[in-house]
Amino acid sequence: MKKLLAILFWFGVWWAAAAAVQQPLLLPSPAVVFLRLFTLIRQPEFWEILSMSIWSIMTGILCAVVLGVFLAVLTCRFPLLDTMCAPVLTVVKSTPVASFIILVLIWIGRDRVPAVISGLMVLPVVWNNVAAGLRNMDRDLLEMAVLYQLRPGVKLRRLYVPAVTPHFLSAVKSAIGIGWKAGIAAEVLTVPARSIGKMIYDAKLYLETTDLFTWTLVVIIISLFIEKIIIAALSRLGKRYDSEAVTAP
Amino acid sequence: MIELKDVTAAYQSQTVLEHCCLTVPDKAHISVMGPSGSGKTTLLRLIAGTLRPLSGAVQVDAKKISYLFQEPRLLPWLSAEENVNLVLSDRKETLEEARHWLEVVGLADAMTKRPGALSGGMRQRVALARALAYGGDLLLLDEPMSALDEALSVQLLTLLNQYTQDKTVIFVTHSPGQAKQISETIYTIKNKTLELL
Repeated sequence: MKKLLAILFWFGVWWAAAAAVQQPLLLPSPAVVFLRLFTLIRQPEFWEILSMSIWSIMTGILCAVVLGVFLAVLTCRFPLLDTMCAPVLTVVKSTPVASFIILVLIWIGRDRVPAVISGLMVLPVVWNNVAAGLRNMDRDLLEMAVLYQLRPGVKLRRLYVPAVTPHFLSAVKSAIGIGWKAGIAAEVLTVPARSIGKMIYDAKLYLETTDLFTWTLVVIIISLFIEKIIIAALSRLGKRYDSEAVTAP
Repeated sequence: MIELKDVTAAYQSQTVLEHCCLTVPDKAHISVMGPSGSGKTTLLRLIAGTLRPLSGAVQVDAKKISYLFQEPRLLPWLSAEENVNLVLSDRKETLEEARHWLEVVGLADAMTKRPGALSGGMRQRVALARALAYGGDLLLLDEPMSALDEALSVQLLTLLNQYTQDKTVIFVTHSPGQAKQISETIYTIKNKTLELL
């Protein structure tokens, strides 16, 4: 309820500001933006653009999550590989995303840039968190597993996965937002056909401020929606391995 | 049979045990006493094979080793029965057997509870059920009663005596009373070496 009131308050501020400015080219009112949104969602093309962007960016995020886990396991298993990869990770984390977007555009062409960029932004987050989870594993429990000769499959399922899950979940939660925003930024700079980024770019080009606001609103809604769905699904996994829980779920 | 021949062991270049010799026949119960930091756990680790000696030889003729640690070392995300079943096969078929061992240690009512919901004594009993369920022919007990009250310690030692008659047991403790209750031979670690008491 409080959240809803806060949202309504800020819509009120937006409304008042738009009424004060009286120039839709600078600041369209919420009503105009929502009207435009309702017009857009009735067009089949809107859903096509939406699904293309979601597909492209989420593919990048998903691949990066899988690769991040794989690399975390490898670098924890082979310290030399960790030392070798550390400078690359530092470069990826400190390089501006715009530089990567331009580079990837030159290297592989525009269509795959959003997927690659969102993946590139997500990869270090997942890699670092999962590696931290593996490095902070309880040594006593590992010793117990060795002494009781637990089979590799049992160790993986009962010891490693539950211990690393909280680190993995927190990585994925922050990675979705980072990946989604980076993917949209990549779309704006590379303008692949039928993408949200192209719509934002066109809105800027033709000074369609209402469209710019509408597509930005779409990005926010989709981002929240995807985040909610994924977090809800992952929370179930988190509860299963919650070490504070007193009974099995 | 367990045999330590002139064993010297160290942790991070600091010698903990020097020139230790020990022979434990099959199915014998022995206790090892000594002050904190004297090397009792090191001795158990050498026998368990998780620590290599700097010099000397350790020979252990045991197919399976059950280890009861000072702290229970249970997986916090698993229930009591799942923790015990883990060392059986971690399959549904052996869950009944895991429950049987929990009944043996008096935890019939706490099988589905996770360690977070159990008292310290109950957790240690789950660990004991796990050690018994594993069925090691050698039992290494590393001060498992140190955090328990006297009554519970006596109860667990009685259980241990009951279920380990046909097993070799090495019991590390601070308590001479407990040592006498479980073993016929008592060693002490003095000046980094083992001495018969």
